[in-house]
Amino acid sequence: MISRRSFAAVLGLGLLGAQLAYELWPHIHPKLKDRKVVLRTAIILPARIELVKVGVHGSESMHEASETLSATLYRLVSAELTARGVQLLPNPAEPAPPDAVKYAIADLQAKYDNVGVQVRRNLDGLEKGKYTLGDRVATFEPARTADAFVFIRAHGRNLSKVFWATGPLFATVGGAFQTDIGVVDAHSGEVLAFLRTVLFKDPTAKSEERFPPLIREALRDVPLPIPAPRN
Amino acid sequence: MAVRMRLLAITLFLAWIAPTAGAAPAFVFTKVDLKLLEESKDIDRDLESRGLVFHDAAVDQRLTAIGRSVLPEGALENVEWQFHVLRDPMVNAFALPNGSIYVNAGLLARAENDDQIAGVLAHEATHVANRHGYLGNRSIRRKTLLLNAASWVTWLPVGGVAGQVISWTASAGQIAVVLSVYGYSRELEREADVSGLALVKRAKRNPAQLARMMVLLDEKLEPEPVPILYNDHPRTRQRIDYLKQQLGTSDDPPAAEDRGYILAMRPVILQAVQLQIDCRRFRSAVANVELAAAQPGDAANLYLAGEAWRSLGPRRPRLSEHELTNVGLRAGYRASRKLTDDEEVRQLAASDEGRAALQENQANAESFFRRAATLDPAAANPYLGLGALYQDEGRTADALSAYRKFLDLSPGGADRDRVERRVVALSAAGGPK
Repeated sequence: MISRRSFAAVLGLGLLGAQLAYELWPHIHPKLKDRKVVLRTAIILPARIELVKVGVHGSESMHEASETLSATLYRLVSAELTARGVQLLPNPAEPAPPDAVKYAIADLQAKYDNVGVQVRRNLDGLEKGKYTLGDRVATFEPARTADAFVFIRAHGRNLSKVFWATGPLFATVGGAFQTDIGVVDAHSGEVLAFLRTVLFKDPTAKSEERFPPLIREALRDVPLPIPAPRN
Repeated sequence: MAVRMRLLAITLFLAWIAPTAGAAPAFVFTKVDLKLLEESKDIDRDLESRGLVFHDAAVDQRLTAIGRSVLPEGALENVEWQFHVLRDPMVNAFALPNGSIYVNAGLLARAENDDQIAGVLAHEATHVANRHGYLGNRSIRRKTLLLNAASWVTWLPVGGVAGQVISWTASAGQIAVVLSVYGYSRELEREADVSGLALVKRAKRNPAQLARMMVLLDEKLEPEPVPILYNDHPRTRQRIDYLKQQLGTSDDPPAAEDRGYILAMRPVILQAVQLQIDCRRFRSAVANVELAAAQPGDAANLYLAGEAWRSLGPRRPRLSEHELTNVGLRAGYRASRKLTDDEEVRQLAASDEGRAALQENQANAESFFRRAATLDPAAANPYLGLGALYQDEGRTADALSAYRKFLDLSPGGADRDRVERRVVALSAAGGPK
């Protein structure tokens, strides 16, 4: 006979697993699913990564590691999209652009983050075509010929060894590194896809090996010019 | 004896973790402080590279001149004073421990004159000069260590869950940075207010304007999250009261709009209004643009004023009495996070009150767009605004005519693509070809 406590623990873990599976499921706008919108050309905006080191005295930023990881994720997402037949426009933030372009990038990123709060709260809404950044996104000059914007967000905590000693399960979950990829229509501003990956390992180590399969898996069901290879 | 020992231990421990406000004048930098200093420099670089720092030579010069007039005397180790405008629509300002002071565009747009900005900068400069960032960081690190120790103690007896909860509470966020942006403890904030007032007086500026700025900060224009249990930051009303006490007055200082200030800050105000519209702070946009639009002879101001009123939709320009209560503010904030703009507009426009507000706001918007078009007949943007307004109102033929006028006036503009798409969509929906 299973005890109440064990039942509650199993139920809790089951719910946690179901929630995680739901979040990792690719959420795609019907327009993209039905190929009413085709993503041939895209522009990736600079990835925003927040990595903090957590020790016994609290947290502190890992600025350099975040910057490196930001460049790595940008490159890996670019590589995967290129492999799937998407033509990529140059990174609008490189080389350092004039103020007007810098402001326009910042405004796009801020708009995406504002809408992103709602998308994350209700991923089903995306599949009903509910979310948009507004058609003013079409005024972004460097993306004039693009079909879509790609936004990359990631965050995680780098836990000190002491935390691992206190509880491997909590430390694993708490130390998870989450990456979100958002695809937005470059003309209408509609959020076309929201994809999530979770890495349960240190993201700063072996990132070139650890991330590509996760990114490939996240983008697998997104309709792109070249379909993803099926295993 | 045992009780005494325990009391002594507790007293010593509390003294150890207490923030050391008003510390010794010679501040000795520890390794931890130097790390925070480096983090501050990283934040400076980050804000700049991300396009969050607004650059306008005249505005920067004015802000720096105001800031320099209220700085504490003498050089400070590891402090290089710099004043920046942050492209952020919220009404806020903050200082990093390295002497970088950021004033949000939202605050500059809300202020009425230079002396109010001087008060804000003096307050922030006090945080830097009195090393509040470092002191707060040290205090938080000690408290976090305590919390983590508690989590390990609770780990064994309660199966780890409570311990883990405490542990995660302790490690949530980059506390030191959050602290310097969103406020220090009550004591340190009070110290910065009072010292800031003295610095403003010393600069022969009007100290009452710091209290007036606080009154402006206390005006709630948008639904905001309200802390449920404990707020470390002194309430703005309390701050106004003790500032008035220092000034020897019992009345709130009256409005003191300075036309010279508003004209000089025009680029920041326009920037703030656009950012506020973008992040759905429509009431703030309307309040801020009214001052700018009051300046005669500026079509860009009038167009943006029209946009602010149009975006307000079925909302009232000011929150109602119920919406201003803590319950109302929380509910409004939750709704704004939950509903998209379209959903919120539909929901509000379903009521008689919402419909009435919508009509009124649309009439205001149309009036501003028309004034802009009359003032500068070559300006295309007023027609973009009119087109969007008529489209919102379901006046398809008028919307198409306004959009076509826009395309005539701005054949190669950045908005061309989206306006053409709107024309195609409206025509397909049954409008005149």
